[in-house]
Amino acid sequence: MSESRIVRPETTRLDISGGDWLLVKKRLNAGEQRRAFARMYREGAAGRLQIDPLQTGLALVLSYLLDWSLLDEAGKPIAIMDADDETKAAALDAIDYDSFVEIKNAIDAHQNANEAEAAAKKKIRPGAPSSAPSSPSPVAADGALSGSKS
Amino acid sequence: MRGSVRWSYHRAAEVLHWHATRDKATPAWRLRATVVQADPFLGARSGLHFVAQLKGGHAWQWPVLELQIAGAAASRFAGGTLTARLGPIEVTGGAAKGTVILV
Repeated sequence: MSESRIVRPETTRLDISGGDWLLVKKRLNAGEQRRAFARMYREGAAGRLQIDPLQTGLALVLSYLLDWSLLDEAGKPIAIMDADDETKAAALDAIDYDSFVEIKNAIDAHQNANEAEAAAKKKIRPGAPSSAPSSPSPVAADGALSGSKS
Repeated sequence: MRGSVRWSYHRAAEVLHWHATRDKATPAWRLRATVVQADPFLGARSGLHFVAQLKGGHAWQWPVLELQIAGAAASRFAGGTLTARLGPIEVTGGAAKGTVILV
């Protein structure tokens, strides 16, 4: 019997500087990945889709981030748990740029580690094709995300 | 008051006017609520929880043992009825006394 391909909604905590932490999704499912791509692409000349380098970092963070320990200027938690993307984006816009880059880099490293783990699992999955796909797959687009500017 | 059925961070259903009743003979609870929106795929997953939002930012949580959603799928079951059998309450941020909760 084959292993389920449904992505179980698991979370993990990433520690960042200053004793702060991020609660993030362990993996994105296809729908979440598609929504992340939709946020980072824009229509260019002749209707062709182009990556918007100003959106890739934000798209990555919004797709993974569930909660954090960050405080506001009054020392109260900045509540983002269960918030919609617009509210989370507003909170991310309000923090200093270095903190945003640190959060983005932490999530980027988490995603890269997951992708390496998934690739290793795929190699040992029974019946998995050993040859490369004949056309570019969504995985190929991940490279742009990993190497993005924030 | 609002509540939601969750599969971890995914929301299988958003409800209003929820009413949970404890069965005196067992630790199980029965839930009835009006659906705001529901996703039948997520609602069919195992490991669901019902989270009831209370005043003051408190929330109570129960594991969902069985779930039924009645309504029109075309409108994401809006206005339909959600019924569920719940396990023992897992309290977060408030006392859980009494056998019936009416919100």
